[in-house]
Parts: sequence; structure tokens; C-alpha cells
Amino acid sequence: MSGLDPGNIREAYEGNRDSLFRFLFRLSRDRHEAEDLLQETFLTVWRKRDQFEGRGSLEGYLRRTAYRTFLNHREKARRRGRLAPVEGSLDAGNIAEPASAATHSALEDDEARSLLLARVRAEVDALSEEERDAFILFRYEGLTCAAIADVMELPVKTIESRVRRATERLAARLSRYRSWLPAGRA
Amino acid sequence: MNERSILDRMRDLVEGRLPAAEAARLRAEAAADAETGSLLDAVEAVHVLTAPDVVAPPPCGATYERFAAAAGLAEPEAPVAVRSPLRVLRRPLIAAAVAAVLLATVAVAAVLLREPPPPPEVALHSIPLRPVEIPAAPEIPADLAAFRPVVAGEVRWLDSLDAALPLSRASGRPVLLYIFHPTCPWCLEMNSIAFKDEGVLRDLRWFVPVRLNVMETDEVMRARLRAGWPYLGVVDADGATLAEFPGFQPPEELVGHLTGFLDRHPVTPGTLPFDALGALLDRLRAAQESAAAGRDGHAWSELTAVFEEAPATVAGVAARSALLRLHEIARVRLQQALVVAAEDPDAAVAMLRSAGESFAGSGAAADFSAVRLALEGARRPPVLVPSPPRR
Repeated sequence: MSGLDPGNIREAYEGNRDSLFRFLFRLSRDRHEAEDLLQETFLTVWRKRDQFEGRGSLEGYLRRTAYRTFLNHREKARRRGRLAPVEGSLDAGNIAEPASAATHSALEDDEARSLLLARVRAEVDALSEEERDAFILFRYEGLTCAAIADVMELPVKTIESRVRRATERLAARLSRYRSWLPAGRA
Repeated sequence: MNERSILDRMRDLVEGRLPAAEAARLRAEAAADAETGSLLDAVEAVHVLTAPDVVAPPPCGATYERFAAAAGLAEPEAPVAVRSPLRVLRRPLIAAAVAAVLLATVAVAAVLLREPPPPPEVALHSIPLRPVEIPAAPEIPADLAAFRPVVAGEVRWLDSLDAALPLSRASGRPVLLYIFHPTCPWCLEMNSIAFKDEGVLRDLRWFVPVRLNVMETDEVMRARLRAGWPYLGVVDADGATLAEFPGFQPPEELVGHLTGFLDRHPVTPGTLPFDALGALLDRLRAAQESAAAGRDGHAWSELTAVFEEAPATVAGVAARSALLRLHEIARVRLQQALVVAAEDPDAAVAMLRSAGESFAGSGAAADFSAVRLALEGARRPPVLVPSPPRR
């Protein structure tokens, strides 16, 4: 695509809508907020379409714009003093700890999986924002460290150290739940 | 974008996407080095434990139509209706009759009262009503737009701190100061290896690099060499030292220092990479040339775009200053035309048309046009009012 114009904007929107929505949802954790951010991202890209001119990939350009839009939104929410509620967010301290691996052996797999999911979610939420953003893009969006650096407009080494710190922290905090997983997963 | 870090490779390994030979090599590296082994264990554990997607997205409810409506891309469909000729004619006939009665009434009233109608009001949307305070434009070094710290794998060293500090101030990037001795073997090795290393070059793009020969430095610089040479330090735009890494450093150690520094001193929000800043400064210069050539409307819209894109950068601040100057020029031209309008409406109409042409493409052109039309209709100056707040 050499640039954006009224003839190809629908194709650009529909071709990138779902992946960009997933990207924004994973960062914001709120469906309606992610849809609003998606709308704002495309409006920004459309308003500044003469700046794209087909340099680099459209997907990368959209992701960078979406991330900046998300950061602006988070900053404004912070200034207003009320961060958007995180859908399904749980405080790490409020989730039941397993008394022991043996206690869990009696639990059904489904119950164990949902408890583990809540625990993992709480530990991911407990990371710093910088580490959490980088980890989510690395783990769930499947981006390489270099691609995350491109999105966040930071040096690759900075991203590597954030992903590394997040991974080591999560491994330390979650390792005791490894025995919860069904056989073959651990 | 194609470089793969060890974390990327480890993730590919645990997801079974790494070719067998490379996987075996990575496992061997992990077995031989405790730190790598511990990191691989952590990546594997986290991969398994976070396998359920903790943020699994629901389906997206946003639609192209909603976006198109907000972006002004949607074309409303014309209603299709079949109406009888009588129904079609009835409304125009009634409207014509009402208009005729109203016109007659107005004509009689005008003759009877002989009072001039009040002057028309024109709401200005872009041109300010009152004088604009224009902030001073920031100093932008002439070489900033073209400045890149690293080009084609080579560091573009500056040879004096005096030349680097204005670039540092305008770009928001710190100065990396490197002092070497021309015959020191460690310095030569850093020149030929560390400063050619890909990781070092990647981090150097976030600095303004300066290299000084110790034989050509003054006493102030030599005072930094308490631990001898080679010397590396990070200096802010005022020349204050932020960090020092004296002595010889192999590439991986130097990358650690630079990355650590960047982590401890995050980039100020709004600061751009040199490429993006250079592109904005080019657009700023083009807009200023347009203004100098009398194409004020083009300059107006381009300066607005530069300011909105990066308001906190030196380009954004300069664009705002130039834009407010254009606002003031438009305001003065409008006021001059209104002064002339009291005596010579035709001359004022010509002035407004000329101003509208030079501001074509900007919001000011619409304001000039609205005032001109009001003047042509009433043959006397309209009253200017601020635009109503947008809802």
C-alpha cells in the first residue's frame, strides 16, 4: 500500500481491525476502551495520512500509533486520578494460596486452571507498567523484542531487560503452581 | 527489526519453532553458562504457567461504518420517495406566497421607518479578534535537521563539546563524550571494535557523540582523566556530567553501561528519534519558506500539523511560534480591510479577496471570505464576533 486514500481506507481498516483490537485489548483489558482506542487510532492515522505515504509497513505504523494512543489515554486517566477499571483484575494478595501441592491433587482440572489463571493474571498485573506492557506484547502478541522496541520507540536492549525482568519475576512467583497443571503440561 | 535476541530464540525453542540444530546449540549454551541456563528455565516455566491467555480478547465490536462516519467518509444515501405532482408543487407554491407577503411587508416597513438595518454579524472561526502574544521561537542549530549519530554503521563523531551542546539542548538527547589518546592501544581497540559493534551503535543513536583527542584538549577536559584514558562520560545540555565510564571497555560492557544509563534516564515524553525530528524540521523549514513566499494558507496548515504531531519538541515549539505569527498577520490584514471598508467598500472587498487567496487552504481563508460576503451584501463593515463554542 503506497499511502492511505478514500479508495483503500476500508481495506486498511478491515484488514487490521481484529489484530489491532487484540493488541489494544491486551494492553487496556477493557473491551469498550479497546474499541474506543481502535477508533481513535484509525482517526489519527486518517487525519495524518499524508505522513504515512507508504514508508515502512502499514501494520507497524498502525501499531506504533495505537500504542501512543493507549499511552496518552493511560496518562490522561492517571491525571484524572481514576484509572480505567481493569476487567477481571484481581489483587494478588486476595487469591487463595494452595496449602500444598498435595491439597491441589484433589482438585478438578477445570477448577485448578481457573485458579491458576486468576493467580497468573494477578501476578502480571503486579508487574510495573513498563514491564507488563513489554511482557504482554512478547508473550501474548508474539512480537520479537526488536518489534516491541519499534512499537514503543525505545532501544532494543531496554525492551530485552524489561522482558527479562518480567519473566524472571513471574517465574519466581509462579513456580510453585507448576504442579497444578495437568500432566503433560508441566 | 529482524534481529533476534536470546529471549526471542528461547521463546521459539520452548514453542518448538526453533530448528533442531539451533535448538541444540541454545541448550548447550544454557548448560555451559549458569546465567543463560537460569534464564531458559524461567522462560520455560513462564511459558507453561501463562499458557492460558490471561487477557484473551473478546470479539471486536467496532465497525468500519462507525469509523467512516466519525472520519467524514460516509456518504448518506438520498431518501427515495414517490410523490404526486400536486404534493410536489404544493410546498413551493405556499412558500412563494408567504415569501411574497413577507417581502411586501418588509418593503412597506422600510419605507415607513427609514431606519438602516443593523450591521451584519460575522463569527470568526480561525482569525483571532484580539492581538496575539507571540512567544519567542527556540534556537534551532542549523545542522540539527541533518544530524544523525550513526550512519551506515559508522559513528558520526563531533569534534567539540561546544558544537554538541546546542544539538543536545534542541534534541533532548545527552552527549556521549569520548576522550582518547592517538597512540594508546586500548583506545585504538575501542575505535576499531567497540565503536563498530552493532549493540553499541544501536544505543549510540540515542546520544550526541563527541570524540576528543587528549593531545588537543584543554585543562578542563584533562581534569576528567583522573583514571587515565580512554575516557567515556555522559554530559547534559548544560555540560553537567551525568555518568562516567572511564577505562577500556569491550563492546558488551559498554552496551551494559549505555543501556543502564538509558534505563535510569528515560527519554522525556515527546522526544523523537533523530530521523523523525529531522523530518519534522524539514517540514518546518518548508512551511517557513511557504510563509516567506506569501503562501500563508499552506504554511498555516503545515505548521498546525507539525505542532500537533510533536508539540513538546523544538520543531513543535517553533511551529507554534510561527503559527501564532501567522494568526497575528491575518488579524492585522482583516482589521486594515475593515478600516478601509468604512470609506471604500470596494477597495476593502479587493483587500479581503487578496488576503483570502494568500491564506487559501487554511481556516483563515474561510473567515476572510465570510467577512467579504457580508461586506458585499451590506456595503458596510460587519460586526466581528468570536465563533460559538463547538459542541
